[in-house]
Amino acid sequence: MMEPDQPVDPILSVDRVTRRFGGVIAVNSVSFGIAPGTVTGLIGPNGSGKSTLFRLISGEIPTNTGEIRLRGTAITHKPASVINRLGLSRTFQLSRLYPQMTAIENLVAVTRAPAREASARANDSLAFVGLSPVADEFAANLSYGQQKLLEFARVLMNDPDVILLDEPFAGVNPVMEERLCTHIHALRERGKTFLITDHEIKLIMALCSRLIVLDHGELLADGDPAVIRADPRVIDAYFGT
Amino acid sequence: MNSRATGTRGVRIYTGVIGAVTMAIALVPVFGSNYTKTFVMQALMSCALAASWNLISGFTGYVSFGHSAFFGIGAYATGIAIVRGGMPAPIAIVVAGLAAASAGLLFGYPALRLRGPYFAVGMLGVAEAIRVGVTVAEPLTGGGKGLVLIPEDVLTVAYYAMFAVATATVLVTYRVATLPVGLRLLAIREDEVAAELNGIQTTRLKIGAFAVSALFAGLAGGIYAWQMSYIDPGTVFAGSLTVRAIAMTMLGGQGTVFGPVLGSVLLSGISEALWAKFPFLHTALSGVLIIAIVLFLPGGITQILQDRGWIPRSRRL
Repeated sequence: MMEPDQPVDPILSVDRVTRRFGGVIAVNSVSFGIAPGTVTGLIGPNGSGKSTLFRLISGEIPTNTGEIRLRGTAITHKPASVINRLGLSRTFQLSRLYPQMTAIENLVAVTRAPAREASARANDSLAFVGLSPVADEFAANLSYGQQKLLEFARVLMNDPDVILLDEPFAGVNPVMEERLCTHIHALRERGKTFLITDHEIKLIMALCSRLIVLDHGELLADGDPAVIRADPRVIDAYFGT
Repeated sequence: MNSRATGTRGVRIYTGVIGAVTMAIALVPVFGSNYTKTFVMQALMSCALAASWNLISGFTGYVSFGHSAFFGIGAYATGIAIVRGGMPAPIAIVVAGLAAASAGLLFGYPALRLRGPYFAVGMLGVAEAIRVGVTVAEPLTGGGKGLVLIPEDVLTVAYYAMFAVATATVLVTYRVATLPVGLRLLAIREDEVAAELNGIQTTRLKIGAFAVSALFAGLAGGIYAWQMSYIDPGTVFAGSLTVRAIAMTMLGGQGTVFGPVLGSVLLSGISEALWAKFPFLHTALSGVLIIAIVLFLPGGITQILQDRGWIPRSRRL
């Protein structure tokens, strides 16, 4: 596994990316690289541009300027489905499952494998996150925590290299939190790369080997969690104390 | 609500009824009168139209108000191929299906970039534009006066041809529904942005489903033209064809396999009964019936049966 502060040959690189919405600059010339096999936190106050950056990286919205690369391949203006197929997948701040489909159908739907293999893989993913008992339940009927886990399982279906988790711990009880952390660690051990945004700072500090801090759409700080915690600019902008 | 499979007995009854109805339909030309044959053939045509509409609109949620365009294209392609091209009817009908599918690809590519009411109204505009185009192109289509085909007594053959098209439409729907591609289409209906972000190539899927949907509507239109020996723009591009297909699918259950079959059988039967009992009021009563379906049965009969546990929540039904 690479050292977190050595962005040599990053698996994901964001280079001077800017996104405007009318007169508002949501993301302003942000650059960073993510090393493979690492867990990186993307934090910042509300409105700092975290979710917009996730949307830009995953191809949901286009950048105005700048370039995003995945394993060296420019993905800046590629369709979201193509970016997913190249190995980058994401979850959402508010779960975006297919509510009128069962848990297993939610997984099979996104799999590119043939039908039988898709079903087997979906069952494996459900077992991995401990949702096998609710495989045939409609997604709409699952608890919030189960929905978060199901979305996490869905992300894994096509075996992505880079996984973006948008507020995975929001509204999740401690048991589910711990379960999610365990899964993230297990997957990182298998070489997966994570970029996580969340407001649960203690969890993020414990989980991530590196933190990137955004404020007003700009990169404020980037480094080791212990260093970031002591950075006066971050304390002023984010922690407020 | 427990969504687990229940009602195995219900499935047996449900599939038994479908099997019995299919057998009865197959035997109508042997034992039925010409009136019965014509009525059942109309119901089969409605079934093909409803099931083909369901393939795109029921599964993806892209409600098309222009489905009659493909029926009309199929009817006119058949008419022109027979009258102007001297083609044998069976080949002309296949050509008509392919012409409608091509039109589906052509119009689907721009139209399916629209969503919700914009797509619905856009397709209404497409159907109307084609109707006007066919009316204006008089040297080829006969214009507003219509196109007279070579009259032939083909009721029985046309009946079985329509039966085959309706069955094929339902079988393709069954195949789609039971493969991951069906779930991908449903994912588009549930949350298209999430589907795209999860790697589902939504544009390609929608256009593919639209073309297949148009193919079957075109084949039904072709058989209709052949059997009727006369077509005119007002009849084969009528918006009422689309409205009936929508109502039938809603009555049976959108995004299901047998919902459109159930809806077309019931609504065809009710419409015929209304026509027989109330010859001057049947159109208005049919309209009221469609409004009632939209208001009170948005999930259709299939959902009611599933909610009551009489049949399981299976994508195969």
